[in-house]
Amino acid sequence: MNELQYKKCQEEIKLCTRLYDNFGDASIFISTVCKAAYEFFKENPVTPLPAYDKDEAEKLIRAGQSLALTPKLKTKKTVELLQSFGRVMTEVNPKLKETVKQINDQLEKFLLDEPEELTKEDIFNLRDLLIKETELEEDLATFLFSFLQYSFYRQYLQPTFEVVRTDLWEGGNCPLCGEKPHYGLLSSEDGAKQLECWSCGTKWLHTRIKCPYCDNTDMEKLGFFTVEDNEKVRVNYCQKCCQYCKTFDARKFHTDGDVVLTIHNLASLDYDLLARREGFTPGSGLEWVNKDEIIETQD
Amino acid sequence: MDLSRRSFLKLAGTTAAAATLAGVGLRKASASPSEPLRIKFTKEVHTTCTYCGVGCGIICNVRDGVIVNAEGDPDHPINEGTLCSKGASIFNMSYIFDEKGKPRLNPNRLTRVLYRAPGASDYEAVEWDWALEEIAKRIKDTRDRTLVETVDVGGRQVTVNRTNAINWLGSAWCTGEENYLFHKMVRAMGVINVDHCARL
Repeated sequence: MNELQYKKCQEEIKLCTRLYDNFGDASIFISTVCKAAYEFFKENPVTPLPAYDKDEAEKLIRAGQSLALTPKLKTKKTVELLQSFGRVMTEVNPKLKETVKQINDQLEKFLLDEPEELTKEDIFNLRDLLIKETELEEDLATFLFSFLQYSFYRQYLQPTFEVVRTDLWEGGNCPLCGEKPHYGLLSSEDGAKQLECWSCGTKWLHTRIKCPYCDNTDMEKLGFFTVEDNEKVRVNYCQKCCQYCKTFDARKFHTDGDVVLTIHNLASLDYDLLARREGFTPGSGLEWVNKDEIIETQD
Repeated sequence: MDLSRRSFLKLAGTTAAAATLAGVGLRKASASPSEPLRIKFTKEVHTTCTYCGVGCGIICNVRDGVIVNAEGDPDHPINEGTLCSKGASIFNMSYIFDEKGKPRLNPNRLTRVLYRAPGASDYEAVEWDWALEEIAKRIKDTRDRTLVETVDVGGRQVTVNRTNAINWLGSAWCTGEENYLFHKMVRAMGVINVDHCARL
């Protein structure tokens, strides 16, 4: 996370505090995590990967193939960043001191056994390990690890992002890293749907009435829900694959310029909970809801 | 028994606070059962604007079978998300309004194929398959009955293969390619009265 991204995040947190109920209390934590990431990368700058060959990238994109770039992360740096997030957790809620200690113990053990670099799978195995062995719950783990991956990938892939023709991409997954999106934006100009990768921040246009996960275009099986008096957020669902993707309607934000959807996503986790209660699963694979929060509803 | 450290700590009664997003201030409170949010389910349906010959793409928002909003389809190559003032208010076509301006669903909106038989006073609802078959049959009958193969031009018989009994009106709802195909089809049948509603 560079200075510009950090400042943009802070502005977005302020905006989201105004736009969404219940986000005010969380803004301190999110803001401090962003600051921790910013300071971490200031001290430990990331060397971006060389840009993908422009012509080769265009060839793949035109053929409907994602570049599937999944850079490995340095194990030590990954653990250090997680530890800095742990310090923020304790700072914001001192009651989490013991839990953070558990997490740090597991991270120290992990450092002893693991190789120097971590693949994407290794990172998520680490996440699962912490959920299993400590009091870290699913939703917070999802936040910490997705934010961690986003912070690294965004910088690693920036040179490639600048040469890739995302306007040619019609797929539902990310043209750069191949991840499935969790959220998108309806443009304030024309209502076009722009999906955004939670992992590397790449944005691309996608057909409005089409499931990004199973490519279903049957209008009878697709739809969205909002909640009364708040139609800024839509939960687009597909009854064919039973998955959901959140969409933020920029036409209702009254704001121009880039929108940092990572923050809007955090501010609207109520909708993830509602989607889970309606029986849909996140198409991105990111589980933002703890099992005990999904209460069975009677029909 | 597979006992993780976490399970062991729980069984041993060791208390470490569960680290959740709620624990750091991010509560999903408004989705709590005590204050349930009222969800509104909506379907998005593609259609084509009925007003003029441009044929703009529209996405209609349908809630409980009723159109509640219409917006330009951003993926449509013609209008790219835009609509004129008439198109933008097209969802009102599914309503009628009383003297006070209060809307109610338009009971006269056609949602099925209606057919009035020759000599009958009332319409009856019929199936699409029957209607299409009947249209094709009647076009063919009319064409065969009225086809003029040759006409006399100055004492010379000239082949024309035409019918004046059918008039074909193209549609602004169709693409240029579709209208081209319709044109080819009716010309092949000998129809010479071909027109289009797009008179902009």
